[in-house]
Amino acid sequence: MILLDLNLPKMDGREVLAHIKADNDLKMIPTVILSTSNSEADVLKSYQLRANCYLSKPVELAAFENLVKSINDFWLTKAQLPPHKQCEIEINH
Amino acid sequence: MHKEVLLVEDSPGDVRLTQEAFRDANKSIRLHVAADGVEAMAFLKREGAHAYAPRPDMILLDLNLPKMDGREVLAHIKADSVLKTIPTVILTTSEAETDIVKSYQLQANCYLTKPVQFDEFASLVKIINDFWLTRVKLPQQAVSGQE
Repeated sequence: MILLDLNLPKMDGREVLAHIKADNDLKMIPTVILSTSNSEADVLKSYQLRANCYLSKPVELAAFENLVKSINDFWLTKAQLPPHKQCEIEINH
Repeated sequence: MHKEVLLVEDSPGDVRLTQEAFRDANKSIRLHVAADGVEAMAFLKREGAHAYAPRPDMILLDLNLPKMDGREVLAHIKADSVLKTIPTVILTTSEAETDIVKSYQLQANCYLTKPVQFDEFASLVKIINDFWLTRVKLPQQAVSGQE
């Protein structure tokens, strides 16, 4: 999985997200936006660009640790992620 | 604030379990049920008896459904400029890699396997509530499909 900030130097997170989701091999990797932005426009834009989910980054360290734990408990424990050999599996829609 | 969740599930037993588990986890959830894929699309497009259906904050979608299968429902949702931003979580008994890969290819937001035991199922519903309906920033309702 990918944890992606939105405001990045050189290439911004929205552009990274658009590239990931336009790439046949990469698009299956769950991409979670982790940003300090709470703006509805950023949230909506991220889902339009096919982010798998949007989380806002808390400023407090304890709250941040708690959020990372919940990402681990949900995405890395409960969710079924695409297998590593995904690129070799060919599925016709 | 109320959150609207659309559960697309054909098994009455699983529907009841989900309703009970959500009732325990979060009373402010309004759980709507569609028993097959055709009904799910009618709900989302506000057709027929669903003319006044709310836009769901998230969708829990089973894969194996009568009339229109969950993969097809997912493909329709993600091809629709208005509906595609609604987080759609696959909730199925299938653990097949092909189903997981296919669902992510069709842009499912997440894939979860439905446990058979009630306790585990209730705990999964609680986790869905704690993560998706509490932590995650969901797109605001009633937005147009503009890019």
